[in-house]
Amino acid sequence: MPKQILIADDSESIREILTFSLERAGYQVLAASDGREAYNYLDGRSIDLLLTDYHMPNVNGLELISKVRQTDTYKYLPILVLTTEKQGDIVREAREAGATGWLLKPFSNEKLIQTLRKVIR
Amino acid sequence: MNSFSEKFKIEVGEYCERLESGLLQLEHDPENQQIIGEIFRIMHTMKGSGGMFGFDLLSDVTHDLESLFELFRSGEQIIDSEVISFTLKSIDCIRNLLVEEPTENHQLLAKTLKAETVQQITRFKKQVSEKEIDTKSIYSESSSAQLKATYLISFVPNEDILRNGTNPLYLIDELNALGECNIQVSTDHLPSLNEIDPLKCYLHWYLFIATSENVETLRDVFLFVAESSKIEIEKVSNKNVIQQESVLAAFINTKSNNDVWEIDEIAHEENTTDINGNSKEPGVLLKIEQEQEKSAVFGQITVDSVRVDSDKIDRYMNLVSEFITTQSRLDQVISVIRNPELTAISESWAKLNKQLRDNAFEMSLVPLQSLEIRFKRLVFDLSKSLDKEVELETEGLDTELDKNIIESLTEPLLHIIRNSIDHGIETKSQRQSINKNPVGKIFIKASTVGCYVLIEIEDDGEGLNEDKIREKALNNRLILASEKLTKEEVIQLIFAPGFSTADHVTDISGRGVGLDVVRKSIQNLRGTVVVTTQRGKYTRFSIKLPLSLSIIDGLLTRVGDNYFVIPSSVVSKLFAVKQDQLKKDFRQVIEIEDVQFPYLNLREEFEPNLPLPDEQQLVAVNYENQLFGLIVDDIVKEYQAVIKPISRFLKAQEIFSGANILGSGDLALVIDTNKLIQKYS
Repeated sequence: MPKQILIADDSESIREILTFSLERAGYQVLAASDGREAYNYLDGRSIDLLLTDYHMPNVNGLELISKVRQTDTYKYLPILVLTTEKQGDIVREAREAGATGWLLKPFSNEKLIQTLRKVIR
Repeated sequence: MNSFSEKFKIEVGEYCERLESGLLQLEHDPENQQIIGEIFRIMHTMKGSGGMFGFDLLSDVTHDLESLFELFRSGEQIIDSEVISFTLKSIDCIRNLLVEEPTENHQLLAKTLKAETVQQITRFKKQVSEKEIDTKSIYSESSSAQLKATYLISFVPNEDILRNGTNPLYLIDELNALGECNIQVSTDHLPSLNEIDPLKCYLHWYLFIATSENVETLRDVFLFVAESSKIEIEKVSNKNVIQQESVLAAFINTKSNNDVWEIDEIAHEENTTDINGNSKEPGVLLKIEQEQEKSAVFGQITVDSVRVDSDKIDRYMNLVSEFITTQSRLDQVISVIRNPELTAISESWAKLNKQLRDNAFEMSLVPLQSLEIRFKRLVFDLSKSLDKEVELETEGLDTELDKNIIESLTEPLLHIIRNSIDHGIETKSQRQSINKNPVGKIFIKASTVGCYVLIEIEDDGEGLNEDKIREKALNNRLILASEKLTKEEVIQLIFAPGFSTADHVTDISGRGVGLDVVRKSIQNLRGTVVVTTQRGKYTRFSIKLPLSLSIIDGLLTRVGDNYFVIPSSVVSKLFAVKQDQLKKDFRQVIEIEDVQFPYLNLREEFEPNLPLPDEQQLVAVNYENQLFGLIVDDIVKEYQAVIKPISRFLKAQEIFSGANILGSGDLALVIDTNKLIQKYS
């Protein structure tokens, strides 16, 4: 059974390109356009990684991470935060909220898969 | 990639509109943090995405605009109308900068815009360091191929490393991919069994790695854990000494005595060292030797089964299918040339092809048994945790299916079983009170039916409650109160997305979720799933799947100028029929050899405007235990059809399950007879 990755990003094109790249790499993808929608996906189904943007409407990335860490089922889910290079603070905040790692935008396909493989096989 | 950047352009257009309307609102309400936040976020997104889609100028200018709005977002400064009109102007620039191949003019435009943005920033904030305005990370090129050097990496993870979802083994794996490794686990910090907290990581790792990567790359592996864990990387040698265990042992020895290690001091000893005798670190090294010995023993055993990478099988299947496509082209050519010798060769080739195909098929088929242990395990674990007693009974698990299907089927099947145990089967006491056997039963039965495999999962639980389903569906707005649905239709609503019937949420099957996903996965395999139930008696999920996804025996038929494939497996008989025979009856029933067939003239469906020929062919196909006639103009031949999936533009319809390319280059659509008959009967 392929691993399932949940994406949360409010940009449709980012969602599409992530979906495209991840599916080509053999993962199954669920895509949500904000934190709330992503959280709704966490309803018991099997998810192996959460890839979330930082800035999102409704529930933002940070809130999403904290919420995920509070669930029973997904407490130890690997989480990667999408961010840009300038925001060192974000990386720190996200880590404190419980993120496993981060991925700097812009990223290449290789970089994406390479980073992913740090937290999921 | 192009469609992505097109899509992105459209998205940027939307962003610009949102920016504009936001900015105009700010004009009246300059301290509205919500709008400022939104603008900041949009700038941020454009910056991040711009670079990914190759619009570097866009990400360049939005980078500075983002910095500008950061000032207002933090509440440090209050936006004024000058900034608003400046930003509105820059939005126009952004639209212009959205080109794949920027000219000098574009560069200049971006440069001016950047300079002006910086001006705006400095206007608000006197001191903005150059650095902050212009930071653009440049990815360091990976080091050019060097000779391999050997390092020792000691990795002492923070005890709590598992809590944020890190799996340290992946990092070890990643290192392993970077070079040749000799890995040792230290269990020194492992407490006694009764003190172990399973959520903590007590293990430390020592890895020797021979790699051509530089130290930075090695450090990068630990990027996410560097802060919380202790990671030391030391060079052992400038050469690859990973096989020279004496050198590694000497290194550890030197380290543990706190001596200074001279790189490559003893590397020259390599030819003279006696591995067995001088090893001072027996733990790892001995083990490795033993492993080597073992593998030597195993090496002599003859092998009569081979494990093959499943990708290789897929490729093989694909090649075979291409082969068959080529064969049909050859047939086509030969039918024109009419050379008897060539025809003979082609015929024997076709026979070989068929064997090759069957052989390839067999290879890719896996019995469902491979899943049995997982079923059992699930039933065992679940019944334990729910305090229900459940027995698993199976039948026909030797039924074989394409391994790709099995792979995608595992999760849906497990999900159904999970649902059955959690929601279907009652607790022991409930069962006793209604005079049922206190031990619940799950029955899984698989069988081959025609070209399909039927898998049934049945529990003898309380069955589905139609009224409750209806009520939930109403509450969740899946149906309207006015909608009249049959009992069957109501029950199938459990497959609708967002449906939930569980009275309370449990850990096991979440919130009754996922049946929508189950149905989707099965549909993706060109299968169907239906549920039947009887209150208080049983709930049965019946899954029907095609045997394979790629090649079928088919009957090539012609209707008008178009070709259609009817899978041979459903075809029962063929008859020639005359028009006046068909016209006799208006109920679309024809009597042949004392049997009455309901029929459908495909002409009416696919070519209604052409005049009907005098004689047509009736293909009697099996449909739900009876015969149904499909009338075509002509039967061309029976052949092996390589099915290619149809593009997503045709996904909305169901009557064609795939397409086949004929030797002539024409397309033949594969008819899913069940769906077709359902639709028109």
